[in-house]
Amino acid sequence: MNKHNLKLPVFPLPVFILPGGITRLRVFEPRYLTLVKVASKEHGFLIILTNNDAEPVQSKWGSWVEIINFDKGEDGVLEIDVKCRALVKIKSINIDNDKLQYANALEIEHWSQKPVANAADELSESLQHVYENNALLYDLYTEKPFQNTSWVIARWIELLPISLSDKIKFFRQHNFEDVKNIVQSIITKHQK
Amino acid sequence: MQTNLRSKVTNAKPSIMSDKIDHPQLCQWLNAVATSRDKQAFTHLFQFFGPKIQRIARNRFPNEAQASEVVQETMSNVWRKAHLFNKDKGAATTWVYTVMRNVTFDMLRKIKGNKEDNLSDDIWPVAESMVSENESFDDHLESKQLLHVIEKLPEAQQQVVKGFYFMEMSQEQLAVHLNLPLGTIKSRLRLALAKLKMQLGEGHD
Repeated sequence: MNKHNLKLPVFPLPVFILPGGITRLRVFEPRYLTLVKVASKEHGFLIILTNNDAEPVQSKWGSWVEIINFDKGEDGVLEIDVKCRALVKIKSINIDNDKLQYANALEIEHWSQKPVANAADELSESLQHVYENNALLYDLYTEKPFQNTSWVIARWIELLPISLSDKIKFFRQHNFEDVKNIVQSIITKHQK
Repeated sequence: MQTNLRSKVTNAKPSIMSDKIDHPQLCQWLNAVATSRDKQAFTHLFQFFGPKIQRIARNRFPNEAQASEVVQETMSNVWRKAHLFNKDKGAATTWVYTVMRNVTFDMLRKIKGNKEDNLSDDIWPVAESMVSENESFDDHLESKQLLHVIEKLPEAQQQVVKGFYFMEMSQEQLAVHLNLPLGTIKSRLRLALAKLKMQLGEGHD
């Protein structure tokens, strides 16, 4: 596994996203338009989690995302679709001349990046149902590998109605089986 | 005469910063407000920042009343949010001016309705010039600003916007989706989180 030192611009957002996850962001602050410019020329950017009151939840981990699409919303605001490439551990954060924060970070491995075939059918079906009933999710994901259990579980964790400060615990939990059991204990319709 | 006047006006802005500012004192006052709700300290802060904010705001708004509103609103936010100030992350002045800037954005948005996307940093040369380099409050306060704006949108629109930022479902949506009672969802989530916490061990957050 190649683990490079990365230098990435930082976008603090209340967005929890795991590798393989895609979300759409609206960007209008000039500083973050700059970030988009930098990120599209180079290697994407880092989402560092803030809570819903926009206070930082932690600054140890970040989601390294790449811009995969962009468009102008109906109101003229720039919308970008980003896909999480990997999680990173943050070593330091500096402010650059353009007033953006830049993080020095190291890519880490996460269970969500290792495909696991058909290990939780009910979770897959259930997630498929969510996607079929949510036009945005359906459109964002051109590929929907519902047969890949680690992908399914990562998407479920992003969707779960739990606080972001609880969600970051999933950055730290590296045991796939444990994570799977936890998600199953919530989502499974009839529990044994 | 004319040119003289004009240069005076432009010079007026940086002069706000050129006043000798006792930064440690300001930090101490903010800290006193945060930790012991010290009214005396707040009065000092008000005396220091009030006229400055008034003067800056007066350049942005057509009348004195609105400028005063900026002062009131900013200082009441300072009172409420003093605990969010961290002197290691930047100067007290920077923090207060950031709060002021957000208050002003809020008011300008109210006034200008949907034109907020026209607002850019360049209408804020004054506040920008005060923002020190290692400024990190700015970011979250700005996103906070965004959340305030979201909360003011009609419900349907809110759903869409929140959908962008917060992918997650609500507990109600999940209950409907799984066709389970809300209470069951809540207790399952609680159990799951307890389990996760146990797996990870305490004290690492």
